[in-house]
Amino acid sequence: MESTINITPASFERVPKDLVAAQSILRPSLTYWKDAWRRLKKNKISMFCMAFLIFMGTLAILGPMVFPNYSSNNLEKTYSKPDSVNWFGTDDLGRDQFARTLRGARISLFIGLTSAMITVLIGILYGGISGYFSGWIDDIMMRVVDVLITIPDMIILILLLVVLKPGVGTLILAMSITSWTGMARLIRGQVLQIKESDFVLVSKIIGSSSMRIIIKHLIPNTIGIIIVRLMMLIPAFIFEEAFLSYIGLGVRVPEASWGNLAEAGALQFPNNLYMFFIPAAFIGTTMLAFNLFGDGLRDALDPKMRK
Amino acid sequence: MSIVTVFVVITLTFFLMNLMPGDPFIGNKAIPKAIKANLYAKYGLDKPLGIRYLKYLGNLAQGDLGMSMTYKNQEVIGVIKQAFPVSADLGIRSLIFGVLGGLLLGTIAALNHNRPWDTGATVLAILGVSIPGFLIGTMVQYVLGFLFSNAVREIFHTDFQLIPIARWEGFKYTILPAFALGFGSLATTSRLMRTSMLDVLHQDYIKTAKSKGLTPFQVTLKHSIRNAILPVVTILGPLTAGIMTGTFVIERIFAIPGLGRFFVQSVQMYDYTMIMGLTLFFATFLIFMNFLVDIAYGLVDPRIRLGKGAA
Repeated sequence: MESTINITPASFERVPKDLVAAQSILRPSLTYWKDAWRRLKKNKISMFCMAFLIFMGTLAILGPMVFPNYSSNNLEKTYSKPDSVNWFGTDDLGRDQFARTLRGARISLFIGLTSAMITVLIGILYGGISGYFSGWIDDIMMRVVDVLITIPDMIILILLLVVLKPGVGTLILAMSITSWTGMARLIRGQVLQIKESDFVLVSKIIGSSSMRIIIKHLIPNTIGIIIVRLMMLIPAFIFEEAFLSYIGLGVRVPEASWGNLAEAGALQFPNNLYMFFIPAAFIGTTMLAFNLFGDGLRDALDPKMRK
Repeated sequence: MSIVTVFVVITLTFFLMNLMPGDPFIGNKAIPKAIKANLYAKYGLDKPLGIRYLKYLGNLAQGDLGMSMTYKNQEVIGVIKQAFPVSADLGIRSLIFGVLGGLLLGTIAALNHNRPWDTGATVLAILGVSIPGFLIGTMVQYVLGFLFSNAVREIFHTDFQLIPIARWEGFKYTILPAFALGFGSLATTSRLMRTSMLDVLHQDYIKTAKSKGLTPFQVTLKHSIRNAILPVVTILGPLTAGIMTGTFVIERIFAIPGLGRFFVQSVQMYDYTMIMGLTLFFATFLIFMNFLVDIAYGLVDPRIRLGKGAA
């Protein structure tokens, strides 16, 4: 067990700091977005849905450019079943259903996207102001929301649509006006929570301006929730538009939306089923893709899921 | 709070409606001026807006919603009395189907986490959330009423209908509309129930319950479900609202003489008093339902006791 330990003065020599090694980064640093993207990529269903939505978006943008004749009548060829000329058949006035479905994709997605963005924007502004200033301003603003939130949206929406001139713009406006309250509450809650957190306190102590706090702390910490909510709102609005078209208050012919195409198809029932099932399939699959993608995105953007 | 909301709804609806372009007497034929003036006088449309508003409030206080402007000699109250039971019947059936079915499905999914039953229930739920009720309604109508009957006719050469696909004449007639209307609620409920149940199953008190020797059935019923059901109770309000608006379309698809159909028709025909009355009725009804849900929540969750001033 006798072992000699070699202690030489050299053992006490200071090991110089390897500055290069200390500075080198072993793993790539991940920003919030890179990390979220990495997690999203692992979720196969979400990636598939994203690809599907991108495909649908491309169809909505390019489709109507390639097939612009969504509103031209052809009375010689009405109610024709899908064939090589009219891929999705024709409707009661001989309009090409394929061009109409593409146009419908553009209108429906546009309505969904714009309404969702306006709703979120109103929600952020209202909720942000309410949460940021708190105190009596918050009290008043939130009591107003309390009252508005109990008013049944759909009923006011229907009234608004009757009062205003029908059209895509009106539809977007009316739908956003009636649905921002939930978003405002959500944002206010977030803002209140973040405002009280320690990192904001520290930021205040070192003298950051309100603007800096908003840009550096409030927005980055709520953006995930906002994006997820946006993703969930889009299909909800596409759904609502289809619903309104079904009771004759949505997009009016000759303009096309998936909702009014499905409605026109349902009126033909039980004849000319292609007119109903094709738009119905488009609505169903797109809503499904949005919902599944939204679920995946929620998991990916949630910092608590970070490993 | 609820009363404030009802008042806001009355005011909002009244003024919005009077902003509407067009009026109930624009028909196919031009009506002579004198007759039009008489009609206006009969329904009080010749008075200034403010006076009409006050008068409406006054009548309302006496429970008078006025006469319909397009259905001759029909009181709005009468229409509600006649059509609402039908809608309520349909709505309650759908709600029961949706909520009970959803609870069952969600519970089964959570108890079989990541096994085929769970996958099946999840797929069903996501489909239900994604496919609008009116599309489901039209599809079941087609598949069961049309494809099925045709197939039977081809094979057996007899007319046979498995299930009626339209109208409202008895229990059999309620099955398909209630299914179409309740399917969305079923999906929402089962998704929520599954998440909440999974959460509860990991809690310590479930372990305690198991270790003190309760049967799995007792644990599930008394401990898991009792706790997991709370979030579901909170969404009963929105679910009711969803089902109620759903009736607007479902009643049209299945030709059911309910209130939803009247509402849509009155909106299309500018029937001021009818829109006003029905909006008010629907809104009050929903607000009342939300109030009931709040109370129900207090009953289910022993932690929440509405004390004085807390409400």
